[in-house]
Amino acid sequence: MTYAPGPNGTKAELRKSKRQVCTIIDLNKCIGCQLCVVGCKNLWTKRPGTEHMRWMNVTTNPGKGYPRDYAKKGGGFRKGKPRPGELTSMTDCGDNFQFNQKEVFFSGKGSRVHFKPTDFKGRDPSWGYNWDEDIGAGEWPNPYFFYIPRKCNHCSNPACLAACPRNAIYKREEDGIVVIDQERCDGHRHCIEACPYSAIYFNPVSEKSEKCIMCFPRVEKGIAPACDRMCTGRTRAFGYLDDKRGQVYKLVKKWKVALPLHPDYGTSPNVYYVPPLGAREFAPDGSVTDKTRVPAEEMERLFGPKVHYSLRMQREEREKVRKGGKSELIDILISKNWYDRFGDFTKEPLEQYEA
Amino acid sequence: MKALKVDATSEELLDAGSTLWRKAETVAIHMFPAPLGMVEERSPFLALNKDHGAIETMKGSAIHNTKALAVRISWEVSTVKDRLDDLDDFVDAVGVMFPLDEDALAMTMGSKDALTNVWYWKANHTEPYDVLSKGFGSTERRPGSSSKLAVVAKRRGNIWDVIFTRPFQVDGGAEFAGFAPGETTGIAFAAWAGANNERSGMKSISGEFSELVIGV
Repeated sequence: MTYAPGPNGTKAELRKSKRQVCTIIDLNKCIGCQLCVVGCKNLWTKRPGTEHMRWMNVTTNPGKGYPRDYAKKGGGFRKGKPRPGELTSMTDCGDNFQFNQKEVFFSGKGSRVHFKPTDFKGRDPSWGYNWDEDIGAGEWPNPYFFYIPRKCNHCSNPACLAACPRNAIYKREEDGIVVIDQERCDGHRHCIEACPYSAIYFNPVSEKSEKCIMCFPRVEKGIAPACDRMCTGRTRAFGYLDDKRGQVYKLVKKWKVALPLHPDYGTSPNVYYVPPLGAREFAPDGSVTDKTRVPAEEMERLFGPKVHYSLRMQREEREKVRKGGKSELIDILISKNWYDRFGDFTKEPLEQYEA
Repeated sequence: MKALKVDATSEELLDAGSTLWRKAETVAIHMFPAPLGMVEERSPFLALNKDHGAIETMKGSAIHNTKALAVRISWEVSTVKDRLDDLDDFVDAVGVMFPLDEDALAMTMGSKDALTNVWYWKANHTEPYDVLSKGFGSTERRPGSSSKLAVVAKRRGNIWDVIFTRPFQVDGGAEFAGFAPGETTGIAFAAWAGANNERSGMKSISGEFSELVIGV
């Protein structure tokens, strides 16, 4: 059962959870294929008013991210104090482009007319989801980029929950998943302004705010979230943070290589990332060096000062294996057995429909 | 404010062009930004806002036909917002509040022990809401049809002209304000300027309840 104290609950009650489910994403292995995005989209955001939403999204870093410039929109907490934030627009959220299929395929003008998208106001698009894909940064011969898949972080100190004047947002007691009670939400969008990750979206049809629900109807039946299961690159692990047998615990608590994105936002996220070592740099003579192309300050900006420990640990354990040794960390990251990734959540999606 | 008794059907009460309204006393309603300090515990993010309260004055009047009360409000906005064109859009709205308990405070929208009742209209909806409030953040939007609350909203340029009407008594309606000729109750107003991103506690208010006399 979900835990909903209602309008008279205190913020502390709304934040309370006994356990916490987490997703881990290994950025060394994410190839930006968007399968996680498609899995989520098909399951949750095909309803009227949700067309622009990508509760799960994958964008290129460096880049503006999704929603556009989310990292510049404020929100979250600084030194424990709320920081004002901004709303997202339809264009920021990647829009819902319409294409001239009828004209191209059925008007007899197929040899002269080309496919052309228009934005939600019928204009030529000026921005869209992954508009800046794979641009990245850096100079030849050492350009760099990597992908950052993002969804709601189901934070332990959610700014959205603090911001909602109607107490419509709460953490589920049994698993720490942050949900928006659609009955209580009045669409005021203070949560969207407060979330420093811009992970909440406004539905202009229902006039309510929506977000990733960590596939809780699946999680309740022992099935991992769709995005985590869809990942073809085995970048994902999912499970309870306190399950010492699970890979989530091992990567976050034991090996300390998985870190939250922007811990400086003060919300204590529960999606963790294994920061990428990055491609190695070419020396001026064309030889390959041991240096990474990704600037250390860029990594620290994203993952905080603990990123240096994580990167060092990944390098040391890789080196150990290269020399013929064994490493639990590298075995986990390689993920030889896919089911080991999902702790208590290894049931097949179709099992939920079985009697 | 005094609700003048008129000889009219309930439908006629909603006719802004009717001569009925010319006889009613029109009062100027001074509006000011809702103080958000008191909502800090409820939403520390909402409490950071300072730029709300764009609507500084409204005009109000009221009439009744012994069976239904009609309240008319008009006000000017700098830019009309009557639809959601983008995800960061908000619409113009207005609310008229009545106490359900003589101890209820308008500034807090009542409390769990002293409820209030709000007639609420927003510019992108045709049906009003008959709202129950037990204090800030606790409002329950009930469809206007649940109490036969009706609204007609007209606009001339940037001036909104909104008339609410509702039967004096709602069947089984302990949680709906009731009215009767000769009685006095309280009335308070709130307005939201959509163009100024106003919603929730970001609004202009008239302050504490003032007297509404139901004429005989």
